[in-house]
Amino acid sequence: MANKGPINESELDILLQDLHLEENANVPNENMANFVLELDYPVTPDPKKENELLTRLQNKPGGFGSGKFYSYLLVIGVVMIALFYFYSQKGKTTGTHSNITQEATTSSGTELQNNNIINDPGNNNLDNSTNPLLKGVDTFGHPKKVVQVKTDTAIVKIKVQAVQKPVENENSIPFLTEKDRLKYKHIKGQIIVNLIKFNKGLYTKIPAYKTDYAGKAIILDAFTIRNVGITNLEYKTFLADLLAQNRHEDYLKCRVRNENWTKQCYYNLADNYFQDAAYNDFPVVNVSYDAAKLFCKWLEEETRLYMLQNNLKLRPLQVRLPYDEEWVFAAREGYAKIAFEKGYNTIYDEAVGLVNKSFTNRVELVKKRVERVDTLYGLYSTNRYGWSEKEMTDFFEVGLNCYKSGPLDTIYVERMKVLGKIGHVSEMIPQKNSNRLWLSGLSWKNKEEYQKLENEFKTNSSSPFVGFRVVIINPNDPEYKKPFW
Amino acid sequence: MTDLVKEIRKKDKEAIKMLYNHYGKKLYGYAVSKWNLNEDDAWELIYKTLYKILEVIDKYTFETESKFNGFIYQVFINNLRNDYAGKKSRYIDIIKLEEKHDRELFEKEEHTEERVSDNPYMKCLKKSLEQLEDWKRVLLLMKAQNFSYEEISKYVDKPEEQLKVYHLRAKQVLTDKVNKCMNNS
Repeated sequence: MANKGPINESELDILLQDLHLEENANVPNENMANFVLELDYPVTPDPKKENELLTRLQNKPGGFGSGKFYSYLLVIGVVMIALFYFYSQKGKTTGTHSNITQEATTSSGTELQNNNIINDPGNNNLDNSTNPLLKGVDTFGHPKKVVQVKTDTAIVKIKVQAVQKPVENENSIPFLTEKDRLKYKHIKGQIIVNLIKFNKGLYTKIPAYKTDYAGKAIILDAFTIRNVGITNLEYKTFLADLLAQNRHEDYLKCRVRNENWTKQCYYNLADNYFQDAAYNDFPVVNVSYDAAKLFCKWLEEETRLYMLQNNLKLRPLQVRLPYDEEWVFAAREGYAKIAFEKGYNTIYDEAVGLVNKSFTNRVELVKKRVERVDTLYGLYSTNRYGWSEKEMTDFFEVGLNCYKSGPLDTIYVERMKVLGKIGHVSEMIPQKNSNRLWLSGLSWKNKEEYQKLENEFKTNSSSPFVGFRVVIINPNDPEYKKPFW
Repeated sequence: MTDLVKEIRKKDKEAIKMLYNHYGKKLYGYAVSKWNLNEDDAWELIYKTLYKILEVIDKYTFETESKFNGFIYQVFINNLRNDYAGKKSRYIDIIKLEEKHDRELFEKEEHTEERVSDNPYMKCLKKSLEQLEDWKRVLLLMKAQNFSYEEISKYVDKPEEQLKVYHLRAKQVLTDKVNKCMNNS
């Protein structure tokens, strides 16, 4: 490589401009688009030039104004819809509930495109449209199904978009596109950097402490706990990385069981909660205990690799699920603002039943303090178990409305802090030196609800009301040494 | 499908006017004030963008206006990158930069797109930016496009003063990081 000299700050701006062009040419950026289109610019277009532009567009060869193209497509569209209706009435489709949105092709070669996924608006940057392997495939096990209907005279292929009503195959491995691979690689870097830096928005350090647990005095070693549950975006990144590493068995083990939503009649959430980027910062749910443990292992390993690759002379961090005693202590002492409300922050303990006396006193104090500065706090302290889908989506909408702008596919700590708490769920909390798994935290308010939730979780190995957070043991911090007493 | 898209799909005189009034004017202002395009180039860019939209709009459905906005912006950026990078004054700077640091590389790679993505400076820049929090990254990218602190403040939801302080420091740090990365490569 030729000798490279240093760049100065104005040259850096040029590089940054290029980077912006490169990134935004490849992926639609709704937030930036909305922002750019809402701004007022101190430029007044010349009316003469405006008229010239409009005339040019109206008089283009073929004529946009003639409406011929539109009419042509309309006629074909009507024919195709009629065909589809005819075949579906005959019961020859595969029985999917999906809406037709993607593409319809007849053997005669007539083709209509009615795409609601923006692939290659400009002309050139689309993986999926150019690569036959990728065509019709969406990452994370949501292939755009191709329904093939054979008749005496023609074969009609109807590609339907699975995002609407996915018929998920437990053993299907999605194809990870290059675009997605790069995107999630970037997000993985953000996750790891936030972890190594112990970003205070996401992690709370808790020093070693002597405390009571289930009526006994115990000593807790120092640990760092996540302030909110692991989010959908972080879990997507994990799944994408499993695919990138060809760990297909692990992927299948860890896939998100969206069907749990459907079992409880939450059809829209089944389609959107994990898939739709708007919910990226909500806690991931419908994952099994084994999957949560594998996530911790993955995060620990990837962080260790990152440290090695970047010559960070640090001892490896340990990542795992919080033990019951740690979680109880963190909640009781008001660390990490673990959500609470009457019963829901109560820990159900086999030995002592529901514990909710001194426990809530401390957190009530914290709640009062937080409420003074945080108008959204009321949303954090709500038990959603048993709500209807509409109640739940309306509730989520309040949080989503607070963060309409800002890119979705990125680690955005402020948004994670708010949406993570608004979407709070019970968490998988193992008991130390035991096989017992508790479902602690929100989404249930009494013993009966807890037991119902626990039964659902056991039956399906996962639940729409159960997620997880992580605990980190950092051997590099002097405070993290074991106490001597 | 939004009403606006339905109207634009008609592609008649009114539809074209509506498309221009909703999007063309804003994008023109954006091209001139943020990307420093001269008037003629900006008009040509807007023409190409709107032309492309009208040409392909039937192939897509847009569940929300926001998605349609994203689509239009992407078309605009594609045209800006592909057709106008060479005409902008900044391009001269790029050549200077390339010539100054790596003439050989510049001569080998003729296509702008390839040159940008293969640019070792770009690789170092991406690597350095990856280590930043997202809002800091966005701040640097938007400031490079001449957005004001006030405007960026609305986008990243941070106080203007904080952005000013951070940006002045971050730019220097980022420049150093890129240079350090280049030395190590």
